[in-house]
Amino acid sequence: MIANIWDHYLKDSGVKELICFHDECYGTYTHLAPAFGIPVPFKPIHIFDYLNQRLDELKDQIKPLGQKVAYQRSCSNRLVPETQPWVDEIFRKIGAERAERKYDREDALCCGAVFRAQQQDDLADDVQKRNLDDMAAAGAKFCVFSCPACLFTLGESVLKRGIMPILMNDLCQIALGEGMKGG
Amino acid sequence: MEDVYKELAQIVGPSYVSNQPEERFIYSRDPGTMEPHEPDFVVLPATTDEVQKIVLLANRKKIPLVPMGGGLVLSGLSRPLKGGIVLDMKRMNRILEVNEKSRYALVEAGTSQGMLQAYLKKNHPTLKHSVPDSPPMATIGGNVLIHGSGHLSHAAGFHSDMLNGLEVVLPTGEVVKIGSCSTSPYWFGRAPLPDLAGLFLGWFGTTGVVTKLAIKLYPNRPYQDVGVFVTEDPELIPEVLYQATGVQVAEDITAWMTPKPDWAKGFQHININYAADTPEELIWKRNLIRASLKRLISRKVGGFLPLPPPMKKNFLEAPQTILAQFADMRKGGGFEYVGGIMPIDLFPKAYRAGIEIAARQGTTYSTGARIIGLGHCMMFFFAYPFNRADEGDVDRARRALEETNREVLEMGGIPWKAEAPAQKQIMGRMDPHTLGLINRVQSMLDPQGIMNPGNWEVR
Repeated sequence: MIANIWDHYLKDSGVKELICFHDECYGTYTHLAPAFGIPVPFKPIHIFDYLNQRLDELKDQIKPLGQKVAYQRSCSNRLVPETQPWVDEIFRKIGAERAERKYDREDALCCGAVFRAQQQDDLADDVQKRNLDDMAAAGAKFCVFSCPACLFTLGESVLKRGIMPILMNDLCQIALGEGMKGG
Repeated sequence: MEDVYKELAQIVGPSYVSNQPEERFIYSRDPGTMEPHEPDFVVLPATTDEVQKIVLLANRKKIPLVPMGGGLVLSGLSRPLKGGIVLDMKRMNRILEVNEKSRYALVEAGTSQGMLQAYLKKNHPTLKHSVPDSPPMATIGGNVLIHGSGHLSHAAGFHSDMLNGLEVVLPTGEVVKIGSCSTSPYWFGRAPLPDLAGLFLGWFGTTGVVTKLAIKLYPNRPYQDVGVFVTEDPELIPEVLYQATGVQVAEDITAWMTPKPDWAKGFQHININYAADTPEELIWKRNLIRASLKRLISRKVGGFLPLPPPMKKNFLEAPQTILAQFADMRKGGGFEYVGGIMPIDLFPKAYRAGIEIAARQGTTYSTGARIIGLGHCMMFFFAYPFNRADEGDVDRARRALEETNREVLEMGGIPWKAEAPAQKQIMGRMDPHTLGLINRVQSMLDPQGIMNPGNWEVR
């Protein structure tokens, strides 16, 4: 798979570094591939690491958000828990307050998609409700996602609670005064 | 023929009649594979009175008369096989009454699906009608009269089952009312009178011109959801449908099987659409449906796709627009299908037949089904796309359709809205006494044989 991506999409472009949008990709390149002895012919960079670097470069442009932000940790983060401090670092740099929640960090709840795939709708309903109640009780104005599948699964329900669902890079763009794509 | 043109112009006004080649070309065909047949005249009446005058003229001159709604049937039923007048009903598009409490709408026969849908959304948002998966310009009248089906067919049957009453201009010119409206100012239903609606349902315009009809409306519930049950064993589908329909909470149950996109190949997908007045009711219905299939899920022979809300949106829209994309699969924007009306037991056989026919005829396919009336039967469709600009491709699709019609009949189904050649296949298998009765009814209602000749032609 990695060789396929490299041969067909990256080699001719002379790519040396690859920014990974998803924990699953970053975890595959940094942990799973080396564990199986599969060569990775580029340097994987986690999106949060990249955002941190860009925020340093653009620090003069940052307008602190001053908002409470909930973070929806993805299940793929089990592969790369070492990336978690970058979330706090980003929040600090953009002036966001990480909402104090019962279900955060090591106690984070699944978005519910995995349970639905396992045909456990009742469990998914329960987990989603607890998660949403917790975000609302913590006074979050934004819910930040790193995983698009989590965003797809929870986004509408989050919005119905009056909380803005958003990807981390979009949140950074708001803090930089760039606005979000399309508006 | 000039005198006929003048008389038609006097009836509807010169702007609404034509004998020009461009109109005759357009009205000679529909989007399917059937060969074109040109009319001599195209006329667009605006009132029942005008329709009556046109029918009397056609009778006097012994000119064929072909009523037409949206012209989207795909099987060429509004092609004038023996020339004559095409009676385009689209100007008769008024929504005459909505009885909110008794949940019915009275419309002129040329009212389109889109018009009624938009009207109800604006003026009666708590009500809806059963929308077929055809373009919004398809007419209410045309779809009811061909025994169409749609997004409420699992709950309420064929669209012809949702018919409350008719106003019809008979082939001899009399205007008759069918149903409660014959006796009462209300169009509430067909009972308890002798039911004459069957004289006009499924006859493809060979027994009269329907000018008004009343159809049942249903609650338009604010919360909607869909579960997509997937398996890769077609033999299981009759059981899936039996269990899921038995719960009686779904509004619509459809199946879809297609080799494209690649991830869908080899799987049978059953969409179960349901609606509710509250989020709690929606979850309750979801749980009932899931419980009905629990035995299969626990055997791990099937399960529901974990679809996040944004991915459900396409499955919740009515009408479905995905077929428009399928129609362009071969480029050139053509597709036609055989809809076989059959018992749900025949699902595995029909599924395999569709794949085999497409392979034999060198075309691609999409198959699927809409479940009618709690699983009492289904409309199993075998759809074949073709490139209109490629005569060879059109011919391949035509051959696939012919073979499918034969297979459907062979396995015990009946082709829906059958093309003229398929009608002959059906009549070839029909009980001779039934055929005789059809002939007697046609002769009684249409002694001159002017109504859409070439269809259901027993004589």
